[in-house]
Amino acid sequence: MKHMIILIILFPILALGQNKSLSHYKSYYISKKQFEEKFQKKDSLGFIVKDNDTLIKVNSLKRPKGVSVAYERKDSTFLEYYKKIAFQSIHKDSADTKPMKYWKKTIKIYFGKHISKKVKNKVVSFINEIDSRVDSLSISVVKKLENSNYIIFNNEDYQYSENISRNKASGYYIRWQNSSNRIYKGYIRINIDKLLSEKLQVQKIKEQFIGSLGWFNLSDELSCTSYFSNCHSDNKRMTELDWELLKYHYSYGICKGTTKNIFEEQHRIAKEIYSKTNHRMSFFHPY
Amino acid sequence: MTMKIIKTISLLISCTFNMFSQDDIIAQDVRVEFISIKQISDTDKSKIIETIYKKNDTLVRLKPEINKDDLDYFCNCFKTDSITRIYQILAFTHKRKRHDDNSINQWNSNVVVYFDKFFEKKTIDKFKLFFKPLNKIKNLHVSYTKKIKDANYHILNSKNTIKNYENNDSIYSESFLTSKATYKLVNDNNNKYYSGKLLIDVDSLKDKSLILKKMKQLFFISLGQFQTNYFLGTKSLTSINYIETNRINSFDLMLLKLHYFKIHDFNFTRRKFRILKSKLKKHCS
Repeated sequence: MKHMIILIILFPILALGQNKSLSHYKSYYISKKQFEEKFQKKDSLGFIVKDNDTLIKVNSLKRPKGVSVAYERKDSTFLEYYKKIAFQSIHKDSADTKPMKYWKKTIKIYFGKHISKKVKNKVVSFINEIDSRVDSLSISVVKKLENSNYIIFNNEDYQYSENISRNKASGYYIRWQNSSNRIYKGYIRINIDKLLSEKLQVQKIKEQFIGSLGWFNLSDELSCTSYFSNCHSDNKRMTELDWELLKYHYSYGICKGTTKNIFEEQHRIAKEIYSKTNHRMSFFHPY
Repeated sequence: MTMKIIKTISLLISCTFNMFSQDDIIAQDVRVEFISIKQISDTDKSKIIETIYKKNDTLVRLKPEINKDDLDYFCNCFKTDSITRIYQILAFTHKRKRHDDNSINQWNSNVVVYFDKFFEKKTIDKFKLFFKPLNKIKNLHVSYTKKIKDANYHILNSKNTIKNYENNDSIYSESFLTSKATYKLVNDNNNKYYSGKLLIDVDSLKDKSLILKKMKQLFFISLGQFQTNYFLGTKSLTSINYIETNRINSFDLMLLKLHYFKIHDFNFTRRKFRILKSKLKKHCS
C-alpha cells in the first residue's frame, strides 16, 4: 500500500518529463511486482528501467478504493513547528525520525465508572469540539466497553491497561499498526490521589487526549497555555496554533504515516511541480 | 550644537535601555506564543519577529519585552543583598550534576487549600490569618475552599503513615519538623507544582500544639521546596529551630516575593539568577 502511494506521487513527475500533453494521454508505470500481482501480460504497454528497477507501463491503474486529495501548501514557519511535534526522534543524533502516527477509524471512548459525571461532561464537550473542528478525525462516546477502542479511567477503576505507570499523575498509552502507523487503541489513566481537584482531572485528561491523537512530542518552546507544550498552566486552551497543528496532522493533503525525511521530500516535490507547472499534486489515500 | 549633544545623549540612553530589553535574560527567557494579527495594535506590528500565514488569518509572534513596571518590580525584589544571598542557599533545591544548574521550584497554579474536617476551626482560622499577607505576593495565589473537589492542596490528618524523623545519627523527637508530618507535591516537566498534600499524623502527636506549627512550616516550605536550615535562628519558617509566632516574619515574606517575582517559563537556574542579579544591579542603581 505504501508503495502504491509513493508510486502515485512519482507518476506525475515521470509523465511530465516525457509528455507535455498530459491531459490527453495518461499512462502509468508500476513496479514489476505489482504488475504480476494485479495485471495480466496483455495489459503491458512496454517498460522502462529506472535506477535499476523495471517499471511496466500500463493503461490504467488498478487502485484500491480510496480518495485523492490535492496537496495542501503550508507556511514554512508553521511546518518547522509541526515537524518538532509530529515526528518522534529515533535517537538524538538520528537524521530521520520514526513515522508519525494517526487515527483513521472513529475513536470510540468509554469512560471508567469512577470518572465523575462533572469531569466526564467537561471532557466530552472538549472532545465534541475537536470532532467538529478537525476534518478526518471522528470521535464519539460509547456506553458499552465492548464498543470502544479508547478507555479513560482512573486509579479507582478497573485497570484496563497496565502500560501506564501507576506513579504518574496521568498518562496515555496507544497502540498502532506498524505497517500503516494507524493508531487503533488508546487508554488514558489519571490518578485522583495526585490530581486532587476535578478541574485538574479534566485538564490532564484533555492534555493526555491531545497527545494520544498523534503520539505527539510535547514542546519545550511553546507557551504553557498550549496543549502541545510540556509545562502545566491553569489556563490551558487550544490556541490558534494548536488548532492549526492538529488540523494539519489530520489533513490528507500530504501522505500519512511517513517519517520526517519523506514528509520533507514530498513537500519539496509538490512545491517544485507547482512552481514548474502550476498544477497541484494529489495524494491518494486508500480506505 | 547643544541640540546635537542632547540628541546623542538621548540616543545613547535609549540604546542602553533597548540593549537591556534585548539582552535581558528575563525578556528572552519566554516561550513562543502566536496570536492573530487582528488582535495587535498598529504600534505592535513593528515588534513582529515570526509569522505564520493561514488561509483567513495571519498568526504572529511578538518580540519578548519587559516593561518598565516589571523591571522596577524586579529591582525592588532584588534590592537587598542579604536576602538574595540567603535565597540562593534556600531556593535552588532541584538538584543537577552541576551546582550552577540547580534550579528553583514554583507553583504555577493557584493554590486552593482544603482542610480536613478533623482540624479544629480555631486552628484553621489561625492558619488563614497567619498567611493572609501572602495575598500581597505577586504571582502567588492562595485561597481556601470547603469543597474538597475544588481544591488542589489538601491538608489532611493522616493516620499511621509518618513516624518520628530519623537519620543515620539519631531519632528526632516529635517536635522535629518532619516527625509525624510531611508534604507531597506533584510537578510538571518544568519544575512547576500544580497539586499537593500536607499530611499530619494528629492522633499520634502527643503535643497537639505542634499541629499548627507543623502546618505553617510545611505549607510555607512547600511553596518553593525551600531548604530547611539551622542558620536562620528561630524566626524563619524555614528554620529547624523555628519558634511559632502569630505573624509571618518579614524575611520569609521577602523570600517569597523574590521567589515569585516572575513565573519562569524555563528552569530558573542558579547561573541565570546570578546573571540577572548582576544585570539588575547595574540597571537599578
